[in-house]
Amino acid sequence: MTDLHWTFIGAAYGLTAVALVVEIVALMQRRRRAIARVRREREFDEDGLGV
Amino acid sequence: MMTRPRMNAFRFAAPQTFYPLAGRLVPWFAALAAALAAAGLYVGFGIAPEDFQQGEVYRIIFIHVPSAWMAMFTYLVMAGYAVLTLGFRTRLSAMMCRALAPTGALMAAISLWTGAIWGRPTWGTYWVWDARLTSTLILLFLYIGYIALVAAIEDEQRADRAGALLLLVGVVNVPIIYFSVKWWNTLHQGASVSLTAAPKMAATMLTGMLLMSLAAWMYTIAASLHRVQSIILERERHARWVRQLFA
Repeated sequence: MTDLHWTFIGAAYGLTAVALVVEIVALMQRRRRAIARVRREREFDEDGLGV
Repeated sequence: MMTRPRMNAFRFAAPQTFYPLAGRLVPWFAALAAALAAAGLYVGFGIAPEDFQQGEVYRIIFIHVPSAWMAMFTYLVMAGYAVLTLGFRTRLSAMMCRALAPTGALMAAISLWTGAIWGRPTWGTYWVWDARLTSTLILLFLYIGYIALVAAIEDEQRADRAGALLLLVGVVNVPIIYFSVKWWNTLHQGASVSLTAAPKMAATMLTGMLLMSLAAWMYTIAASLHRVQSIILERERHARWVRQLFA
């Protein structure tokens, strides 16, 4: 019974850890994309190609 | 006549001044979250005893309860920002709503799946249409609905106002979740911790749970501040100050 309990505990904590890692990676990627967009649009405007 | 310099409390309502402040705060909140989680897990798994009724499986409480509390509290904070968005049309408050929503949704999802996993060995089922479980599921749907609504409307200001309205309509669900175990006969147990009554659990269990709750709180703040910085960059990307940041 105790082993089964630890399986449930492992599933709960494991899934939560995976979800938190996924969120942190998504946060990093969003920041990287936002910075890349700022740089790209600035260069585009500086080249005289923008509006 | 000399005028005394006064601190302008509204200075940080401007994205331009809030962006660097958020950047300075994120590492501190993230470090606090990690330290508190480490302490909470140590107390929860190393010190807190086995439960006399449930055995070891009760240790799911150390993520289930903090995530459920955070899901409800985050929604209340978002509703507060929604009032500011609708009442004062402050740009940052709408951005904060958008920044908080994914983490709030994640907290609601964590509370639901950890509850389901805990329910199987203790109740004999992963799910019942009990008032507490159902109202928490509705909270998750409200989060998803908010995220989908603001993403579906192209005009950002219209999206912000529509989202704020949805948040205010949905806030009625939070007291329903909280009081559901008192108002209805539920399979879900009643509150173990209350401001008006002594806790119904051992001190070490309570300490572990409170440490993990503080960790969830710090994590939510860190993640939201990090996300709001990205939102500010996305929205203000044509502003001179943003372009100078990455010159």
